[in-house]
Amino acid sequence: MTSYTTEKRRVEGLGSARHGAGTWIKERVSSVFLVPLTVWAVWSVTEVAGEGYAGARAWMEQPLNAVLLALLVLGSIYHMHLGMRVIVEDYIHKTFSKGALLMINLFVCLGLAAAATFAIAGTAITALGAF
Amino acid sequence: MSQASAGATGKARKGGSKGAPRPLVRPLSPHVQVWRWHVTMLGSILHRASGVALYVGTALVIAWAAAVAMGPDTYAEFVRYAGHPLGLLVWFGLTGALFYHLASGLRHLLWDLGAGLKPKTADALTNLSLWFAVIATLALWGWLLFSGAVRLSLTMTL
Repeated sequence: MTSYTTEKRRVEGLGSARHGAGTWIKERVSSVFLVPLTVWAVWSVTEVAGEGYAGARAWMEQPLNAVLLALLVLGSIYHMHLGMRVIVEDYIHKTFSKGALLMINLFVCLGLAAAATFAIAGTAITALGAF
Repeated sequence: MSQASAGATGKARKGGSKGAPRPLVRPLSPHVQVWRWHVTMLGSILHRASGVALYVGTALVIAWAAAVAMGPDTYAEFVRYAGHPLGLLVWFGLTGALFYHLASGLRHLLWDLGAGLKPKTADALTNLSLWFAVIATLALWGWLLFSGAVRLSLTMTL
């Protein structure tokens, strides 16, 4: 049904929705987290490039590399989930399309997180000889 | 301007019908026809675009990690695509997106602290981000190619 009141009139006096700045702050905090990891990642590219499979595997088997790579990738997934969410919310306004895209975004990010955890932890833990 | 003055006096406009509630007509701003191009606009668009590119880039890095985990055969298969000239072009673009998103993100963090918001400073920070991305990308790939770490051939090792 068409509302005859303006949007401003309908929300006036109701107070904030209590989640206005949440996503914004999460985006900033995760970006601060990712800055040093990104610098490390670029440096790592110069270390690993050209070393072939053996070099790549030896690199990822180093506990410090495995932990930092996991932090970089999982932090990036968290950050890009928030970013893509904002993009969808900015451009897609139909309830069904928006909901579907937000779900796809979440599921893709969860899938990537699971794959990354398995690949990195699997490689590094096997090298430790614990299993 | 005619719209703004009409809004101010509240005169009836075309399109409205008698009896229907009078819609609030507000001035359209920024109006597309008087919108001056500025570098912070480009910077904003590129920040979002590079973010979307890095969404794919993160997936590709995870694919690389998975290829390492799955063994030499899978890794060779991955490198066949990742090391192909077209694959290298994708990585080149992704490193450019990474460097821009990094610099531009720091620019945004500075703005979020309330600093650097004067138009001249904001423009300078944006130009700086763009130049940083170009120079850092070329420097990284210059190093990768000239050190022999990456070779521009069909049978290359990554």
